[in-house]
Amino acid sequence: MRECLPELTELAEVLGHEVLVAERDTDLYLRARRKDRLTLAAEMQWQLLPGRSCSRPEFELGAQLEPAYAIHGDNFDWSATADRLALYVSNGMGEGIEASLLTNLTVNALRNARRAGIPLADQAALADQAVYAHYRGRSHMSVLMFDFELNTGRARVVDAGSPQTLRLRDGVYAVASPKGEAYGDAALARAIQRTRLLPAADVPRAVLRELTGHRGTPTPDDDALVVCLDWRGR
Amino acid sequence: MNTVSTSEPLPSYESELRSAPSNALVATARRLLGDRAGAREVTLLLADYGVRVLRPVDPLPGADEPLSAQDGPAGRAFTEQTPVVEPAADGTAAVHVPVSVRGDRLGVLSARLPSPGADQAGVRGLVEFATALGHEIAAVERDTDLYLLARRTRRLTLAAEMQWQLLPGRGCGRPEFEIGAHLEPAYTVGGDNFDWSTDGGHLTMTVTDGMGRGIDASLLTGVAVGALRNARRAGLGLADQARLADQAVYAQFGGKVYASTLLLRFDLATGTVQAVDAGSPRLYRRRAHTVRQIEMEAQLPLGMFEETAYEEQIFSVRPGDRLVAVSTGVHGTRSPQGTPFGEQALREALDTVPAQAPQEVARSVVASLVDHFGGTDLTADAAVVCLDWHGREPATP
Repeated sequence: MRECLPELTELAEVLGHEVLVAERDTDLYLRARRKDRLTLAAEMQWQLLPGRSCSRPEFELGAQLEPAYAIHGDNFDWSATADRLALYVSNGMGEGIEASLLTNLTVNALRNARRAGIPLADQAALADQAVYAHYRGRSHMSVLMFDFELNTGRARVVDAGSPQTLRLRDGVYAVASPKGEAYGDAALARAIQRTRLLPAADVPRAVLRELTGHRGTPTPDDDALVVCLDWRGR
Repeated sequence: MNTVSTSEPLPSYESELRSAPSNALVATARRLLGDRAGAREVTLLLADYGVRVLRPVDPLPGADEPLSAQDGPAGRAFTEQTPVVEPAADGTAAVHVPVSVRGDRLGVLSARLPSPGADQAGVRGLVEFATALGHEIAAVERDTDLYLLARRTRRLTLAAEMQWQLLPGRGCGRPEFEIGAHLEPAYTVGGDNFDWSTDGGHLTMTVTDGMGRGIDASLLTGVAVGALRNARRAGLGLADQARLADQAVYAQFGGKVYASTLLLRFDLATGTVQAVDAGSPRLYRRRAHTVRQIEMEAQLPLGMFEETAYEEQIFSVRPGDRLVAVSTGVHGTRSPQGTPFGEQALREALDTVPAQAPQEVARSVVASLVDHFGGTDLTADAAVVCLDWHGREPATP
């Protein structure tokens, strides 16, 4: 049995990669992941997201959104090159499809600017213009933006709005947007402290579980989003 | 006692590619092909959004010029989806092989294979390697912009950025069918979309033409396509997918704008097709040497009125059939002199390319449309989806 394990591990990895590739052409695997139907807003939101975690020699990222089947406008996004990691955490506004359209516009404007090779602050300026041009100030989006240098660990940050950043000594960075839940800094810090031994990919779910316990009801009224980045550096 | 350790078998190149950082696939390919096959000048070229040029990813010094996606050895490998070998006097050979993912043509992998090594087995090895590389690119694109950037000859508009991230790819192949699609103007597209999804028994395919221009069109199409997918993934039938998308678009835009959509659902075993024609995208069929439009009952576009009920129609496809769906931007586009591109021109475009693969057909229909329009960027979006039906071997009892 034991001697089969390396082979099975490799097979599972091959399968994982092939499922990702095949998902471009089939709903099959995506449907298997759903125990309920997604709302239309959540459908649109999930297809914007890059994945739930990402791992490289220099860092490990994990993220989770709740309520997963009915999220409105919260979003996370990342993209890595040979030398940099760009990371974005967005706090949506509004409800339902309206919220998901706002997020769609904002996230794509940020990506469009990033893909044009524009620095972080200008990405924010361009996304701001795109959102303002469409909504004339009626709706807006809070985004926390990072641009990490993989060599040095230096990060450029633009804080356009409200998501909070906590930095812990053991190198876990976490961002949370519990919004109006009175889930204070101290409770959040405790939750992060408690999850310090978990890998980055598991932290967001654990923190959200604590939040659910704190709230006492299983379904949140608002989106809650946690992104965890473990920095290993070079 | 220490035994003489036999050297560990090398990890497979697939596993090396899988464990490479998302940004380093080309560097890893160079190392693997260099170490294991003695290959030099390894270059990955990706087709640009307009499928006009092949652009190098992480180019070697002095080799950063884009190449034609239609002409030249690399262009031929891309359009004909076959290896192209250029032998040199010293016995080495420059070999160009297609990089594709499940029928979606991404680009070309070029390498100089050594002498000996530039033989049939060497080329076959490179073809296999290119497929593994293509699959890894598709897998890592979630985490990096790198490969997507190589495909851009210029910046996309925000509307086009939103549209492209909705698309499933430019093609898809399975034993029962092959799909190729093309969208223009690729860098500024607003509301046109195509989408498909297969399970074991059926293929669902849609062509959508969101009204309006720019970001408004793109947001509208985003809602329509999102709603169609949401309904499809909930296991609803075709008419109900249309009904739910109609409601979602109407709820959001109140009938001011709407999306014209053609919905098709193919039974992979029998070739029976359910269809809902909610608006204007048209469908043509080429069977043997005859091209004819498949006439369908025109129903209301998605989101025009509240609570529209849709009905499915049935037709069937046979092995060897080619279906071509075109958006309004194709059948409605007029030349500078005011003549519409029209059915005749479309038939000619379909007739001149019977031997070509669906992705080439879709591209050349749009290319002749651009010619008709006077050789400049189209003012309306044009989407063409071409589907070749192979069907299934009847089960032997």
